[in-house]
Parts: sequence; C-alpha cells; structure tokens
Amino acid sequence: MNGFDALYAKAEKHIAVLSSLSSTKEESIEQMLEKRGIGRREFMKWAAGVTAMLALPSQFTPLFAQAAKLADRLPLIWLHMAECTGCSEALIRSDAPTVDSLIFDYISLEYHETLMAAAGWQAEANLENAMKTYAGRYILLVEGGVPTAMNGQYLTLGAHARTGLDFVQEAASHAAAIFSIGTCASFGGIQAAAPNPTGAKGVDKVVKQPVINVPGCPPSAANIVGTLMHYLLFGTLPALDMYSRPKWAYGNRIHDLCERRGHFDAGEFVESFGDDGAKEGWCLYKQGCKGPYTFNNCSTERFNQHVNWPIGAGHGCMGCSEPNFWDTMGPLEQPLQSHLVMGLNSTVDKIGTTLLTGTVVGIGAHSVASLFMNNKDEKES
Amino acid sequence: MDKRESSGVEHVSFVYSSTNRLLHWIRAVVITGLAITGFYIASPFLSSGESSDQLIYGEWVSWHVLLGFILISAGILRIFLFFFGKDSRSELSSLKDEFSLKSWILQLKSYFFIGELQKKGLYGPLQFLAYTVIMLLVVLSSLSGLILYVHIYHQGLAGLLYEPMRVVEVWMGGLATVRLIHHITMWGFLIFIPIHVYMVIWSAIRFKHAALDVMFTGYDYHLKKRGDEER
Repeated sequence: MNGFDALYAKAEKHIAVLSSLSSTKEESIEQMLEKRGIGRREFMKWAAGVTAMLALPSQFTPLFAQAAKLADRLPLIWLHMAECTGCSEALIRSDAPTVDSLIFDYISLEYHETLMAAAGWQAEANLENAMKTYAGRYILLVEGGVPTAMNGQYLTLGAHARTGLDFVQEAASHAAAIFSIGTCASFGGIQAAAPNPTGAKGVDKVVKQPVINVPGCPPSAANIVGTLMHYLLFGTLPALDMYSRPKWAYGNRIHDLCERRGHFDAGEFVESFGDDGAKEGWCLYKQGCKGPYTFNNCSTERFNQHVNWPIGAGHGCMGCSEPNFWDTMGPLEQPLQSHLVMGLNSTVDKIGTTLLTGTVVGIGAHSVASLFMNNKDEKES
Repeated sequence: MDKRESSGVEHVSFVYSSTNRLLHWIRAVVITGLAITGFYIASPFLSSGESSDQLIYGEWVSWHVLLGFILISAGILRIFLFFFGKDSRSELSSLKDEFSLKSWILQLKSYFFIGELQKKGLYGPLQFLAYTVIMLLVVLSSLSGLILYVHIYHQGLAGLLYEPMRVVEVWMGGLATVRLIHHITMWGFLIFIPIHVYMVIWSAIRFKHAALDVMFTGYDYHLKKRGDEER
C-alpha cells in the first residue's frame, strides 16, 4: 500500500470509529449549520479549505467533510492556566460566525471556563463528571502556562483551591490527546520569562503524555481548529517539528513566505516607523522584525478571517510562537543586535567594542613597556 | 638576554607545510570578509532604494555563504592536518606544555620580560590555548552558520542538512539564539586578530626569531637553543 492509500485507509477507519460513538446532541451538525444559514455548498467550500491548509490532497475533502459532521462525537475539555484568554478569544471572536466557530461552539465542549454558564461547585462537578464519563476519549486543550514553583500554589482553581498543576496532570492522565493552545501552554510564555518567579512551564514539561503544541500569542483560529480537525480525521498526532508543533502550520518561517520578502532581498528597509519606506511597504527587518527566526504560517493564513496580520499592518513580527521569545528576541522593535545579553545588561556589540578597545589599549601599554624593557641587546655588533 | 642565547648562531627549523601556510592565509582573508559581510547582514548599511530587482541584501548574503563554505572546508582540512599532517608532531607536542604549570608560569613571565620562553612543543601554553579556542570558534561559527544557511537555501546540500541542523538548532535554544551565538563568535575573531598580529611581531622582536617569516616561508630562523643539536 502506498503512502496515499495508507493515509486514506487510516482516515476511513477513524471515521468508522467515530460514527460508532453516540452523539450527545439532539440535532446533528448538518442540521445545526443549516439552521444557522450555512448551506452544503458553503460547508464543502470550508471543508476543501481546511483540507488544503492541512496539506492533504483534495481527494480527502469528502472524507474530511464526513469527519467534521462527526465532530460532536469528540468531547473536549478546555483548561485555563496562567493566561489571558487571548487564545480563546482568537477562536471565538469573529466578525461573522464561521463554520469553524459554529462547529466549535456546538461540539461537545464539556468544560471551558470562559464559555460555560456554571460557576463554583457546579463548574467543578461538571469537570469531574466529564473526566469520569469520557475517560480515555476526551481531548484536553490547555490554555496558559502551568506554575510549578511552591508545588504549583501560584495558581489555584475552583472551590477546593486545587492547583492548576494538579488539574492538568489529572486531566492529562485520562485524555485521548493533549493540545497546548498558545505559547504559554506550549512553552510557558510570558509568565516563564526570566526570572520566572512562578516557575511557569509548558504543559509538555509537567505531564508524561505526548503533547501537541500550537503556539502563538494568540495562535490563529485556523491553527487551533486545524489541529483539532486533523485529529478528528486521523485519530493520531500530525507530523511534528522539534518543538512538537504541527509541521503543516509551523514548517516554514514567517520570513519564508512574507509579502515583504522581496524588499528584504533587495535591501529596501524601513529606517523608522512612518518614513517613506514604511509607506512603500518595505521590509521591517531593521525595525526589529523577528520573522527570520519564527516558525508559523501567519504570512499565509493571517488573522481575523484572513484580513490582515502584524507585518501587513506595518509592524514587525515579534516571534511569539517561539520558545522563550520574550527572553531571546527582545527588544520588540529593535533588531537582534540590540538584544541585551542576560546578566550583563548590554548588547553583544557594546561588549565586543569595549573588549576590543581594552585589547588595543593593552597592546599599546605592552608595546610601550617593551620599548623601555628590552633594548640593551639592540646594538650593532 | 642571557649569554647562552646571544652567543648562539642562527638556526633554521621547518615549521609549517605549504598547505598549512596556505590555509592560514585563506582563513585570514575569509574571516575578514565574513566579518564585513556579516556586519552588513546583521545591520544592512547599504540600500539600493531604486529598484526591487537589485537584490543587494541577497548578494551580500550569497557572498557571506560562499566565504562561509570556504571557511568550513579550510577548517575541516586544518583540523585533519593538526592530527594527521606530516608536520603535526611539533604541534601536538605542545600539549605537554599545555598541561604543565611550569610552562604556563614560564610563558607568562616571559611576556613580562622575566626570563626566557622555554617550551617543549611549537607553541607556548597560552598561545596554544588561544589557537585552540579560535579553532573551536571556527567550528561553532560554522555550525551556527550552517543552521542559518539551511533556512535560506533549501535544495541540495541545504536540503540534506536541514533535519540534522534543526536538531542542533534546538540544542542551541532556537533560531534567535543561534543567530546571537553566530554574532558572538564574530566578536571572538575580531578581538583575536589584533592580539595575534601584535604577539607575532612582538615575539619576533623579543625572542629574536622569524615569527613573521614562518607563515610565508615555513621556516623559523632563530638563535641556537639548547636541544637543537639533538633534532
């Protein structure tokens, strides 16, 4: 069996498994979409789009459409750790409900602190109930870094004041798959910036199970939904890069497919915000764009229904989907040579220049000393 | 100056093979070129501003990459010759000085005009350490350079190196840190070069030997020393 057939068979098999599970909803996803004014044509267009985004051949579109209709078979638990809810917002805020967000709203989202009506004891009962009912079947999505210092006491949740660390570890142990949504859940994020007083870490550092990272601050809705949909279609983890990020989204650098790349190669740079180069849409490298060091698909996917993205709006990339970007890439609007060397509070170029000056002064002093020290044998013989 | 040395006669010893001498000057030229093009890549100081068809930055990058590959080739060959070259015996015997406290003290004292420099191998211990560090810097800058290279060229060698280099990239702490390490290595060379040139000239005067000639001719002309008879 060749690779294509194997992949196709795998998806078919998983869809068969999904169909055998019962839905928790009264109406099917198809009916729900129909009611909200999304016809079959629009649904298929969306399915073809997501299939292409996942870098799958177009023959997978019908399969994917079938899987998407079974999305209500997949219970989700969404935990919030040390975070700002920006990732949830990225997913649920859109000018008009897209097929992604409609399906996401409708699927069996068992626990999501921002979206659920329950509070206090009731909310916690819901979570415990969901973890018990769907043990081994649910998908765990975590948003936010996990504070680990002082046994995780920097983050406690719910009426029992259990630590976030405890919650994540328990939820992870019964999950079918674990997705870290956003840079904080993936790598610790801004909470983990030096000196990291709360000991914030990415989810993969505190659980034993394999974790898929979907970093970004926030990640685009497409990357969140795409990762979910990939799991829905195949039931397995996608091809991942060295930081456990799906390759279909994080395989290229921002720089590789940037719309301003031509100006970079041509040496046409914005020298200051608002200058003529900025008006012409030249490259933002000298304004501290971190696109050359950042792996993500923003340059093609963009944000807010593909309307625009930071570089399109005239501001450089800040490298938000990279591990420790806060520490390794700052300052935000300066090129990397302005990066302060940790502990020395100075740039490499400044330290280098100082050392070089010291060297030259040392050489001068030594040579002058040599003139006085060692001339007694310098005579014609 | 003690009497023994001033009464000695000029003595010749062959130090560097022609390949080693050539490699030295290749490294000297290439590292200078890499520092200049590298500074441009870090902070582009020239801009065409006329047409997007003149890929000024792209050309500087391609020169940098070209010089980088010359440095990598020259570096690999030089490291091989250090261990297995015909003339590697005298270099390797400097290891004896490296691990001898007495040699260290003797060399440091001689730099401050106290006593003569006596060593078993070709290099003094501080000198040997400096050269080793510079060679390690060449390796580090080559490695970090290759990581940056596989992200701008994708076919052929770059395609072949892509996956292994991504592994090293993660070890180094991500692409931004790789870029910073690459930048720091350049400062290592920039600081080494003036010290190196000065010490060569100074030791030629101070110890009366052909420290400058040796990298051109391969021969070191020096005053007769104890032990020369046995060689």
